Amino acid sequence: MKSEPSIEELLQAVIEFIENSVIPKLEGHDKFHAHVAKNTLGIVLREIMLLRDYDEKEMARLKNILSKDDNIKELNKLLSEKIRNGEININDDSLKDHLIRTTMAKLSIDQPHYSGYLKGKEDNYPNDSES
Amino acid sequence: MSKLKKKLKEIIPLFEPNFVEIKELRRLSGGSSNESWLLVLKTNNKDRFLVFRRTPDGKIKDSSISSFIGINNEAKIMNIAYKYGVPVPKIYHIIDESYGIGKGFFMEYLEGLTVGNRIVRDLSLKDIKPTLARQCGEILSMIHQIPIDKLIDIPTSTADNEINKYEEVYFKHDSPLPVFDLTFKWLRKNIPHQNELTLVHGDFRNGNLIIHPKDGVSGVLDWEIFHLGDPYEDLSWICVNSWRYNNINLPVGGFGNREDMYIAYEKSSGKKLDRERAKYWEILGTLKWGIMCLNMIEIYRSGFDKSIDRVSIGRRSSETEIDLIRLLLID
Repeated sequence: MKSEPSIEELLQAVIEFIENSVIPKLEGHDKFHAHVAKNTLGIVLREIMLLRDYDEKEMARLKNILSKDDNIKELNKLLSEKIRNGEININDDSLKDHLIRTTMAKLSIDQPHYSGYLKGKEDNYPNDSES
Repeated sequence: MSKLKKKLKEIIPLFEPNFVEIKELRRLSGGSSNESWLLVLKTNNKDRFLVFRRTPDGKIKDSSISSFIGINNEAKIMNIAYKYGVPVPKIYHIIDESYGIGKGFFMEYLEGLTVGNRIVRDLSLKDIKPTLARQCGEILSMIHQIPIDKLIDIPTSTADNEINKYEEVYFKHDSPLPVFDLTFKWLRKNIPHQNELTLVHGDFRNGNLIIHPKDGVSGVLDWEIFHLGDPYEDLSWICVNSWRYNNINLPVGGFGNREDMYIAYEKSSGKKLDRERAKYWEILGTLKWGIMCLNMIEIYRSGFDKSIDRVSIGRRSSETEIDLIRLLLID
């Protein structure tokens, strides 16, 4: 099924409405919450656009590190266990590369203006994002 | 007239004999569990500004992580800190729940900015900014030198206790984040030997400080999670990147340099600081904030607070992941 306008366009329209027509009319706590609402829709929009590609790449890395196939949540659970029991440690280069890429991807959705993320881009951390 | 206002009119004459009426009563922003209210009083002399801080009736502490010492104990510790020269608002009067408006206390209103983001960016603080980190070092050394035999019945929490407490919350959330697991592993492996316990403020950071354009740090607020612990907890919490409000290059609260704070602390306390230990506590502090963000999701899901800022703050846990990566894998 392909409906138009696309979900991205719909979200973009709501974001612009909140920004241009709602926020200027509000004060105090309501204004703050409207800002949060706008930013939250920004997260939703970026996740819709980016997540599928990120997940594919993350899955490929997890399968490679763990030599196992499963869904993304189970693979992460297994990785967490292996880190906890010391089977994979902090000096493992493929683990480092994986964690940096996965985290940079998350930030590009959750908070693309966060200083820690911008520093990562500036210092050329390994990164799956195309922007 | 609201019940709150009516009751306040009964209580205020107990410590302000010249009280005439309440000119203004306004809830101040911030504070997720305890409320702060600005009070402007008409008196027989000039107007008087006060802050009333309370835990409303029936409201439970919304974060189960920190050992919450209760609002009357918060007033007590602020009184002690005041006597030892720490800049804190003076406490005028403490009330119990018998008035039906919750427990709380009345304190001095101090002028200045408290919103972290504004403190980092407001031009009115331009001249005072270079001295703030030094002041933070001096104030922390004063807090940490308060004799602990003056403090009764307060909880102790060392690195080990903090790690266990936050790990429990992380496991309860039940969604694996390998960066956090790696951090727990590293923290346990590198746990510092606990030598001396001091009074620890517990939430000493940009956002809980009153900054005056001329006097600098003029008040330390939010003492509700003070405890006995490792003094480095306070020295490092204010450096956690989330409290730099995107001004990453000024590690102390987004307004100052680490060495300025450390040197002032060393001079005032006569103790040499271990920079590695400070870094350890910055990593632990960063992880703690990440897990507090996860806990916000739990608070939202429990129905306690269904607000949009509560739920969306959950997505801020990833900011601590990138900070932990920088601290553990890059630096």
